[in-house]
Parts: sequence; structure tokens; C-alpha cells
Amino acid sequence: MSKIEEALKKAKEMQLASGSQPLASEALADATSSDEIARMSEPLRRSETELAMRRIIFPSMRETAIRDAFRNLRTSIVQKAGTGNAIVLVTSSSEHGGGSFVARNLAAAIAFDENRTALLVDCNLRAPTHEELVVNENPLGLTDFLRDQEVAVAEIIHPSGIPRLRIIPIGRNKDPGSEYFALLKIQRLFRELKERYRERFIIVDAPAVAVSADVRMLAELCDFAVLVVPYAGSTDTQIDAAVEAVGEQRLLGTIINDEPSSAVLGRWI
Amino acid sequence: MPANLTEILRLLLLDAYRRRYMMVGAFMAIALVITVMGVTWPRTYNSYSTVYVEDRSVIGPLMEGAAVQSPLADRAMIAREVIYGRKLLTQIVHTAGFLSPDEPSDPLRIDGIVEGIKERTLVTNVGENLVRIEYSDSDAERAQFVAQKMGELFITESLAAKSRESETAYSFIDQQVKEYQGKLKALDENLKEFRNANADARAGADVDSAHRLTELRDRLSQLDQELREAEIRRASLEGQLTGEAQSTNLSSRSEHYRARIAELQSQLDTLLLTYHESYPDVVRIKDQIAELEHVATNVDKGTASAAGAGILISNPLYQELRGELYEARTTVRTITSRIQETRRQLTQEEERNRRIQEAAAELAERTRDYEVTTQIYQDLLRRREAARVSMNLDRTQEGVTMRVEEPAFLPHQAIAPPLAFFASGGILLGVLLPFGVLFGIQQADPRIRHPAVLSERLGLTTLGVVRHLHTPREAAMEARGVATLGLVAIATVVVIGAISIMSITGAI
Repeated sequence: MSKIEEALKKAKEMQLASGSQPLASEALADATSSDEIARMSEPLRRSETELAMRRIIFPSMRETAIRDAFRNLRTSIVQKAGTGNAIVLVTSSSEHGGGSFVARNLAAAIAFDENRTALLVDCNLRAPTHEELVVNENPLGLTDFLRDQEVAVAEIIHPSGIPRLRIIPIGRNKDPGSEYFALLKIQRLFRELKERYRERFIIVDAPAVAVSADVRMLAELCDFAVLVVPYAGSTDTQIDAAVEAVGEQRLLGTIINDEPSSAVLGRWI
Repeated sequence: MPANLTEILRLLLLDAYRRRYMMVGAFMAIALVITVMGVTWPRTYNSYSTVYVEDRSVIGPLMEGAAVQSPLADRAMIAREVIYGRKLLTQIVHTAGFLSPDEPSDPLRIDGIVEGIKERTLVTNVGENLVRIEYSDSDAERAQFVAQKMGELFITESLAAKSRESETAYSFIDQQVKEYQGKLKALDENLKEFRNANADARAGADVDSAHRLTELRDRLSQLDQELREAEIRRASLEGQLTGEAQSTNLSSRSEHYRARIAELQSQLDTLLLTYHESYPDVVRIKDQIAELEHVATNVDKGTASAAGAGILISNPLYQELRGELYEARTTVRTITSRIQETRRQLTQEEERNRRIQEAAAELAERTRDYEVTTQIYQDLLRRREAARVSMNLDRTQEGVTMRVEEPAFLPHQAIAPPLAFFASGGILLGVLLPFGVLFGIQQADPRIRHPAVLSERLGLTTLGVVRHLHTPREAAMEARGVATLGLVAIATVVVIGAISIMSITGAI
């Protein structure tokens, strides 16, 4: 733990010393090419240990089955998207279904590929989780952008410490009652995010269907949807309701999440 | 649930692992509880006595040939009837120490104990004439005592029953004897009465009668012959008489009559020597004499009136023929009347003969009844003596046909299901029962666990199955937990083994 903290501290010091801002690097990335991607500033690279602690997949991890599951999911999405990129909604059929876990790791799997980038948009007003990955302290996020005219797009996109993975956290206005997603502004934001880089896949982490109506509006803004079904956590009716909420034509498929496994007896179970 | 068996098992294992603490806990609890149950399982001791039973009843041989003997049923069944009887069991309850001495004798409690004893008693046929009485109890000494007591009481009861049976047999036969005696007396009386009432009904009467009948018939035919002869003679005399002159000399007529009367008188005297006055011949001769005297008197008168005239003298031949004709006529009449008499006697005799035949048939019948009854009576008398002997034998138990062949022993080895059975069963059940319950829960749980269900029920494609991703800390904790659980499971098995060994060696 202490080593990680030291590493984080060191990274921050470096960032401050160079005076470079993440949004500056984002602004620079005008042209769309792999060179550009290669030149993306990565102020911090999280160690594999830290990734393991945060339940984030990485190419050389021990649990290859889990990594490959996400890789396969990524491949399906990339194939479906064809030559371009896509906005993918990830939601779960019941609360605590692991939608955020799947969204984060799907983004990570996309970022494995050196020719693609992933942008994880945290739209889960009830339980935002991705802010912890953002390198900056108290970062501006989606809600800030939607509320405040002054905030630019570049200001809310933050590096995550994982190469080619950027995050738009929820921001400072975490009021779950607010109707952010009905605004025209978010539509424009999503269009802009998608159209700016053709290699950038946008993963939208939406709250569980059962607890929030936001999913319906968010789904409207997305190209595809992935429904996370927690193992032994949802009934037929809940799943039906979720499918209906995201729209059947948009639904790529389901992911069964959190099937029990054993770290000790992994080989046999 | 997916249809594939391996998938079902896999899901079962997954859920079992997810709830591993509960599973191991349940295993430990079940296995230990069952093992402890095995240790504390009540021990029973088994003892038995074997009784030899003679396969014969008293009434059978006694009544052989005279009455049908009912077949003897299963000996063990009879023994069971006796042993399970309330009388015997109540005796055992009081003597075998089922009740503490100061305990009030509550009929309900005794009933309960009796039922218990019944359940723990087994009566079987082990050989041709051997009945085994088996009894199990938690107390070895009591098991022996009860098995022994049951055997003894069974014999006592059976012998008493046997004695009762032979007494009953004797009294039955005795009663029969008395009955037959009465019957015989009545028949005897009857026969005597009949004999008195029917004088003809005696031995030889029929022969006698037949003899007499023949005699009468012979006489009758002889008389018939005589009659015919007499009639011929009369007819011939009558013919001769018509050809003769009536008289030649009247004067001699009166003398002739006198001579004739004298002749008849001498005839009458001769008859009276042998016959009574009423005899027909006597009567007839008397009549003739009277008639002749009358005629003679008339002739005398006529003679006196015509004295000197001397008109006519009767013809002697004529007179003689007339006399003979008279005689012939008389003979005919005599024989006719004899024939009538003989006929009457014949009819009488025939009537008597018929009566004799009837009486003989009746007598034969009555005699037969009497003889049969006498035979049965004598037979019964013999049997009664035999029954008396058997009864006395049974009373003194000289002819004992039952004995304890093998007395009950003191059992040393308790009968209980082996502890190993409980120990291994507990371990097995400790594994199977939680899995079974888990399987049931899985079957009943509507929540989805498998992609096959999603596609089957909702038509959704599954892009992948993501298993739980452990953080390093979680993995370490899990490793520790699994190790602990393994130790607990092993410890449980070891403890069960230790309990089993201690119990077998008698340490517990």
C-alpha cells in the first residue's frame, strides 16, 4: 500500500512540475492516428498490483478466463461497430449487479488494443464509482459540464492511469434527483465525443434498470447496450423489464456476471 | 436450470462453494450428531429359551375312530397365544422387576409394559417340536430372567391347559356314557313291554303255527274226500230205495222201530264215552232217537186200533235200506259240519300266523336297536376308563410332554447397530444432506444462473460469463478460509473416528 501511495504522490509531483494538464493533451489530439494515440500523455501508470486490487483486468493477469471474457465482449462490440466507433451503454438488471465493474473492464479491454482508446462515462448518479480511478483530486465531471456553461469538454476528461483509457467522472453535483440526461446538452456532448475520434469507444456506465429511469434516456443516446445479469441475482421479469428499458434493437446481448469462482481452487471450480 | 447434467452439477458445486461455511458447518453438525446418536443408542440384550413340545393332544387318541380329531395347528402359534396372553405377561411384569416395589400398580402403566414386552418377544418354531422364546431387553439379566420365566410359565400354563383338556375329555365321555346308559335302559324296557304285549312274539311261534296250518289243510282235504264218498253212498242208497216196496208187514214196524232205537241208543252210549253232549253226532243221534220213539208210539197206537187185522208188515230190505240211507245222510251232515269247523280253525290259524310274522319283524327291529346301543355303550365304557387314566396322568404330570430343552442364557454381547454404521452414515449424510438441500433451493430459486436459461426462456444471447474477480486480499482471505474449513472437516472426521474407537474399546 505504501508503495502505491508513494507512486501516486510521485506522479502528482511530476504532473505539477511539468505544468501539463490532461485537457491540454486532449486538446492537442486533433489528428486521428495511432501516432496521436501513442503520444497521449499518461501522467501515471498504475501497477498490476494496483489494478488487481481495484479489480481491473490487465493483459498479463492470472485469471485468464475473466480477461478473455472481456476481450470477447470487446470483439463483439468492435465487430458490430464496423469501421467506426460506438457508444455502448452498460447497465445491469438489478442493483449491485456489477454494471460498473463490467463497464470499467470493458473499457480496459478496449484499451488493450494500441490502436483504440476507450472513454468511460460515469452516468451512475446513484452510485458513482469511477472517480477513484481519476488521477486528479476532486476532478470536474459530467454533472459540472452539464450545469456549468464555463466548463469545457476537455476539462472533464481525465486520464485513469491505464494507457488509452480516459474517464469522465460524475463530477461534483452528485444529486441523484436531477434530470441531467433529458437535456439537449448531453446529446451534443455524446455526439461530439463520438465524432471527435473514430478510434474512441465510449462506454456509458448507467445505473441498474430496476432503480433508475435514467437508463431509458441514456439508451436513446447510445448505439448499443450490454445488459449485465448478476449470477443468481435477477428473475425473468427483472430481465424482461431491463431489455424493454434499453430497447431490444439496441441490445447486443447479456453478460452473466459474478459467477462464483475460487481463487484457491480455481482450477477445479 | 440447464438440462445438461454436468452443468447442473457444476452449478451445484459453484453454489456449494459460495456457501462453503454453511456447508462445512452443516456437515460437521450432522456427522457429529449422528455419531453421538450411535454412541447413545440404547443397547439391547437378547436371550432365549427353547421348549420341547409334544405334538399330541389327549382327546385325539382317546376318541380315535369314534370322533374326528381337529388338526393341530402351528405350535409356535399356540405358544404365542399362551405367551402373549395377559395372564402370563402380567405375571412377568410383576416378577421381572419392571415395576419398582413401592410403585402403585397402575393398570395403564402395566398395559404399557405388557405391550412393550410383547414387542420385544419373538416366538418361533425352530424344529419339529421345538419352540424358541426370544426376548430382548436393555438389561442383560432381565433379558435372561424373562426368557427363562416365559419358557417356564409357558410349560406350566400349557400343562394346566392340558390337564383341563383331559378333564374335559373325561367328563365329556362320562356324560356320553350316562346318556347311552339311559338310552339302553329305555330300549330294554321297551323290548320287554313289546314281548309282553305280543304273546305270539316269541321264538319258534312261527314254526309252530306253520306246522299246525299244514295239519289243518291236510285234515280239510281228507274230510273233503270223506264227504264225497258219503255223498256217493247216499245217492246210491236213495237209488236202491226207490226200487223196493215200502212195507211187507205192518205188525213188525213197531218192533222194528224199537230195534232201531236200541241200536241208536247203543251208538249214543258209545259216543258219549268220548264226546260231550253238545257234540254234533251226539245231538243228531238223540234227535233220531226222539223221532223214532215218536214214530214207534204212533205205530203202536195204530196197531192197537187195528188189532187183529194184521194188515201189513214192513219190507225188511226196504227198512234196512232206509236205515242205511239215514245213516248215509247223517254221515254227510256230520262231515259237512266237520269241514266247516276245520275251515274256521284254518282261518283262525292263518290270522294268527300273520300276526306272528308282523310281531317278528317289529321284534327284530327293536332287538337290532338294542344291540347297536349296547355295542356303543360298551365301547364308551372302555374309552371312559382310558380317559380316566389319561386324566390321572395329566393330573400327576406323569406323562409330561413338555420341557425346557435349552434354558435361557445370560447375554454378554449387546445387540445394537454398529457404531461404524452411524459414523460412516453420519459422514455420508453430512455430505449428501446439505447438497440435497442446496439442490432443492436451486430448483426452487427463480433467479437466473446460466446462459442457457436466458436464451431458452427469454431468447437473449449471452456475450459472456464473467466470474468473480478476486482482489489479492480477497484471495488471501479465501485461502485462509478454505484452509480453515478443510481443517474443520478433517477434524470432524478425526473426532468421529476417535469417538468410534473409544466407544468400541469401551472407553465411553
